[in-house]
Amino acid sequence: VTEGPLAGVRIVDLTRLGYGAEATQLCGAMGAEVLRVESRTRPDPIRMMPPFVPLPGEPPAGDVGLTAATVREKGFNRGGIFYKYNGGGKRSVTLNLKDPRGLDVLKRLVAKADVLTESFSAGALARMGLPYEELRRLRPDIIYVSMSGFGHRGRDAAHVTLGPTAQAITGLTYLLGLPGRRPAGWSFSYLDHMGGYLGAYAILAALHRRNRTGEGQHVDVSQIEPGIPLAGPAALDRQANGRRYRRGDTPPGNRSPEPPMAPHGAYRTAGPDEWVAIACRDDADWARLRGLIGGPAEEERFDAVAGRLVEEDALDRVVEEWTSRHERYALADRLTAAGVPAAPVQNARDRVERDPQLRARGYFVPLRHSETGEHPQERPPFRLTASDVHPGGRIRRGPPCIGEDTHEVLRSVLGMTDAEIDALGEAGVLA
Amino acid sequence: VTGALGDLRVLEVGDESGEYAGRLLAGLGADVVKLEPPDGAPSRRIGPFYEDVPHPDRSLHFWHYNVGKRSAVADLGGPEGRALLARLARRFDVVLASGAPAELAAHGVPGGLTRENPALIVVTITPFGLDGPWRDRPATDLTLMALGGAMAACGYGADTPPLACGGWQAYQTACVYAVQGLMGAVLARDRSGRGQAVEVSIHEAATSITEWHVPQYRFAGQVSPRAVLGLQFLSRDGVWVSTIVPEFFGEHVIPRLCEMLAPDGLDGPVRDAPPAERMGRIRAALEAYCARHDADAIYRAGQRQGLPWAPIRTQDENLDDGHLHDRGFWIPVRHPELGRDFLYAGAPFIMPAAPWRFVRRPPLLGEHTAEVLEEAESTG
Repeated sequence: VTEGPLAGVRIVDLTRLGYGAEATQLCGAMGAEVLRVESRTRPDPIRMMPPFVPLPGEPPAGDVGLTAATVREKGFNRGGIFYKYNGGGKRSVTLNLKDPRGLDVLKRLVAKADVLTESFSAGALARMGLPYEELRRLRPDIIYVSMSGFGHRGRDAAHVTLGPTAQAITGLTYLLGLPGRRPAGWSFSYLDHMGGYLGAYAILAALHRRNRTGEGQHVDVSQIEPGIPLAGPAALDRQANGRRYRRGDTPPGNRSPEPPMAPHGAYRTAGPDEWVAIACRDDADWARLRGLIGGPAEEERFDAVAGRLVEEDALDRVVEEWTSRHERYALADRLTAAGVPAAPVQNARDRVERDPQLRARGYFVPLRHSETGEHPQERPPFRLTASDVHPGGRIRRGPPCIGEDTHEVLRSVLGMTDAEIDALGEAGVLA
Repeated sequence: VTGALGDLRVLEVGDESGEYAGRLLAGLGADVVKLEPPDGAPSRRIGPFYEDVPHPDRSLHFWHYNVGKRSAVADLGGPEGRALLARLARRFDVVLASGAPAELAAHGVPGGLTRENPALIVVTITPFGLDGPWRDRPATDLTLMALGGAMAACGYGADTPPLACGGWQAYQTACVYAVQGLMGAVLARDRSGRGQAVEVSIHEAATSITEWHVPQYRFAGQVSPRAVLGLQFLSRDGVWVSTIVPEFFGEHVIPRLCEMLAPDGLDGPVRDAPPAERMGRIRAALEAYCARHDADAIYRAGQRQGLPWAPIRTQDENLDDGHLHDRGFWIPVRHPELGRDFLYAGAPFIMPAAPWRFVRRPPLLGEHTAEVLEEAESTG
């Protein structure tokens, strides 16, 4: 096996929840050694969130809800969302950072690290006794990447976010909906992913700069700034043309007034709540599609895109009357064979059970979890021809059980003896 | 001070799906040259336009995605175009190519380019990757968002269609992954001196962003329904506000909420009520509270209590946000022809030792053709 692009890079990782953990998962998939430092007394809530992962041989738990009783019963290693963000061969080290001896172990790990990541509220790590100046004293070229909600600088640095907060602020919630109705918004935390990916980019760029200059730095990542550019050129439109985006005809739903494309939307197909997305990029795409639909699609008012945009309600009815008689996958096969962009609207079941492209390319990779057995993990969507990128990281393992690697890491990274480690364990420092 | 990527020369070719990646590289100091056909990149024809006058140099869409880059015009069709690209690639560190695999192959991407420049990194951003049964399917951002799973879970419920977020989120997700894969290749090259190919599938990128949906299906056998994200209420000044109540933040959340919402009917015993009744009472009180206050006041009152609340803004409203100005997020860029500056959405993070900046406004069509060709000849 070739080595990962981040071979030899060690990340001490204090991130929690989704957004920070996503960044270090990607670095792990690229071969970095990620040491996830966490706590049993103040556990990461994502470790206890449903869906709960069944034990080998156990049926799926269904929706059992998040109650104190289920959390006690399931423990720290069964929360299924944790699995989504903590691949990459992360290793788990439990330390009680309220105990000075625990903090001392963390400091010794930092001294051996290339990167320190955290996603606490702004200033929390400094209050724990580890401001950037102290990190730099421990490791002069440390790359410290903080991933807070609003960043460490600025008047609202104390503000906190989850994905929905960041999506609301940036404009991404408003952009998803139908005109004249309340925003529908993303029903999940898109910016946990995108914020995390930009956090990974920050780590990678800072490592490259360190390779050139020998210097580390503190990179201040927020969850909102990665999201604002994703909402397009509206801010430029306001400056150039005085146009505001909050108005009666925004957002356009699935339609595409700019660039002008029609039909452009999701249309019902034969099954229950089954849909096909169709996008005619130009009049040539439309000529192919109307040839298949025939009849009412041949009307002259639909000839050019300008007319189709004016008559879009009627156009969509013509298209949907036709699509509703077809099965969505077969229809997408037929349309794409004719050169028209089309696709079934897939949910999670479809992606796991049906999508032939994901299957052919091995998107889901089975990895072993020490308590719950083997589960498929999602592969990063990029491949390098000469470097190893793997969702199980260099150790080819699924997400870590809490504290699973404490002993091994203290021994191999810090050179501690079994007796020293056991003494710390008995004193409650490794909890 | 040069940017973190100040040593990288990037040649960008292809369609609009890869432009955001080039922007992310330019912001960190890479010299990104956008190679365009004689009539300009397709994104130059996308509105809105400056003063609503359509022109290749006035597309605000093009500005947004291409600020900081240089532009060189070349006809890449035919053997001469292929040879030109190969010659140019000798003097670049990275070729960033996006589009359908067949179109890229016609330009000799990715195969032919690395032979003459073993240190070259070739990044391809294609709808489905370079293999698999769907490789050559025509696709757009909408159809890729449909396949990825986000659409199925976004919208108003089963009686209205699945909805995609505007702004080409599948393309942008792929671009963000592309710069990661690219930086992986750069770090590998820092050690080995050798380049390699980086292959990005937009379909896989769009598949990766749905948080708990795949675990929910695998572990609980359930499919997440299409729904509006919960707990949004209309403020007195007519703005929807996101007022999520994350009880997992800790025991303090409900008491603080009760304190805020007592005048609106939420009081002590709510914490011990059964979950459904409790959420019903919280919703009713939040709705009443929001109706009495302006969005900004709700946002700040919630945040003072440690609650992750926010007004549902449009992007352009963030031009007025003081915090973002404190952080230098909006970057003034001079457009000398127009005699004015425009504020561009800037750094995704603050990297003080190598600050993000845009050294030039978006390029006019072919503005740098002569200098780019000259640079290519001078080394080759």
